[in-house]
Amino acid sequence: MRLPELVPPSDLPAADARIPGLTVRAALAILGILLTLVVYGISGWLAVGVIFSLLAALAPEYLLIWPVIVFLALGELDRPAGLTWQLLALIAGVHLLHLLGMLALALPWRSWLQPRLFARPLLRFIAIQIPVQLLAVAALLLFAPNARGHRPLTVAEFTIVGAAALAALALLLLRRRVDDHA
Amino acid sequence: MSDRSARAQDQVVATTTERWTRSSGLAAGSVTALLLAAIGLIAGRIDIALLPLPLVAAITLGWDRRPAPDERATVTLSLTDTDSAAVNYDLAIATPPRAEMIVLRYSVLGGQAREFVVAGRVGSIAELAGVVPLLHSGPQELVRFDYRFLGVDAISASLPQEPIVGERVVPPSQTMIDALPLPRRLQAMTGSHESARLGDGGEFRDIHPFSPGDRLRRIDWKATARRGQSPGDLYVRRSNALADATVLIVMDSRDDVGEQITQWRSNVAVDKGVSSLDLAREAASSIAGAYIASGDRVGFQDLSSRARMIPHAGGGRHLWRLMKAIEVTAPSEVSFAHQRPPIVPPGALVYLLSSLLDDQPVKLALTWLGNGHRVIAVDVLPPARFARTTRYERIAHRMVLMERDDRVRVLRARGVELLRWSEDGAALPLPGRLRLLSRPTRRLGSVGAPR
Repeated sequence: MRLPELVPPSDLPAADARIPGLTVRAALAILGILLTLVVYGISGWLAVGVIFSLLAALAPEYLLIWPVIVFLALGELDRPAGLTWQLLALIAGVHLLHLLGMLALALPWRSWLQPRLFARPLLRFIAIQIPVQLLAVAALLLFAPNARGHRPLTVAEFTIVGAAALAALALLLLRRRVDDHA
Repeated sequence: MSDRSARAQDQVVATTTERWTRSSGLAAGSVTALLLAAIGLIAGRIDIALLPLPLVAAITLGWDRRPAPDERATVTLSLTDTDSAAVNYDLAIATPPRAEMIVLRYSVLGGQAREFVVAGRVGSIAELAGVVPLLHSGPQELVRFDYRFLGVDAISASLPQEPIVGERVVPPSQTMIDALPLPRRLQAMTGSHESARLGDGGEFRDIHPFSPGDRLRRIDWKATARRGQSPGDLYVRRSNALADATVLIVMDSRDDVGEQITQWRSNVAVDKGVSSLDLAREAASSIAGAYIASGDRVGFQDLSSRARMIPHAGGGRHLWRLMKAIEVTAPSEVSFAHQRPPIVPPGALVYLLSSLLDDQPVKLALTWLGNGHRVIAVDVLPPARFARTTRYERIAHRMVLMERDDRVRVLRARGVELLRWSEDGAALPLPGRLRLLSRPTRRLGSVGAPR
């Protein structure tokens, strides 16, 4: 396997493609490792996270980044639920891992990417993360057991919250469909 | 599926209906979200239950904005000539409405393919432009684009379509030839070359006693008065007849090897340098142009295709026909399986344009020589360049050339004249070499020989 040249080719100037396609995979690996470090700290599990993140970046077609997400969630079980920056970072990181995993699957690693290629995915990421982070803060303040003695999440509460979220999503989508047909 | 593909001069347009596939990451992300929700539910952990939220939102958004199955794209490739030896290309892509990215794989002159991913905004046109240098003559693929579209968050991807290809037939350059070698016998009754026959139009030949059949206006009265011994003695001025030559250009286009020895195997147009077919096309068009300009008749035969044989004729329209036939010569997979050599018109001069890398052209040349034709083998092998060659490649090249030298020696020994077309440090430039070949030969029946 030959690594691509790291100088963008100049014979297609209008494309303005300056970012090597490897960047997406590198970002995927780096983010996976950083999140493992955040969740597990310096421990034996870090090696597992590093290996899986690197494998996921090297061969995204094996879909290993999603097991990494589950692996990170399992690591979170070891810590008490609460409003911490690590959890908020994990929520954003898991989202970003998913997006990078999807891109790594679709984009050829030898390719060159236009910088503005990332503008719309980034906007969507922010548009999703703002309400999700607010919801996470509110949910953690309300339901997390270590927040001033609140009891942990019960099945009934989770069902209610989930149903409300699904209803909101369905409403949103239905409105879009109606707009499209109009 | 391409439902319309039209080519108008320098523009290739393809309108396609895209077929879409879903990314395997979509299923993986959905399963992961469900799994995280289940873990959160079973463990009674709100923090774990929050993790799948952004995944669900991203997947739902992507699914909602997935492209429709009947979305169409229009790709237009325009080629425009420039003042220099280059062609500008411009690719315009009208993307399907819900495509977000365009993955482009392009190659110039059959070289290494490069991949770009550009943003294809909803309903917009991504325009890509560049310049392709014209390095070779003949039919060639200048630029090739493969493309596919990606939907929101790469959840959907269109299946690859037929590539859009910009092709050109580049006419070869021409060298001015001022000295034309002639056949051993000039046969026609008119033309611009002086033949060995007696006739009208040519240079003064001699003063000869009048004989039956001589025209009266040829009587030279001064010579008669000076030489006449008796009242009945008459002397006539005799001159040579003019005639045109018949020339057959035979191009051995079965192989096309370039200057770069390392490219003899892969034969990539952008890397191989000047190729043997470039030289052969240049030589053929120069020779044909020069002979037609002097009123001769020229035929053309491509050894790799029987269909391209053009019978000998003269005139401007025939030259245009010859040039078109020469332009489109290309190596083909048609093996040269002629049991008999191509038919050569009587008394024709044969130019055999070949790289002489195998025995077939040698056999042909010797056959024609044996039939009494004058044969000039035009050596179109370009000078070798050894950049990035291995030792084994250099040894192999030397062995190939040793065999080739043997063929050249056989040709020379049997009387086939050799003309090397490329200028690679030869003692004489090409015009000088042609002038040497165009000197009259002193053989029985040859130009300028006594009758």
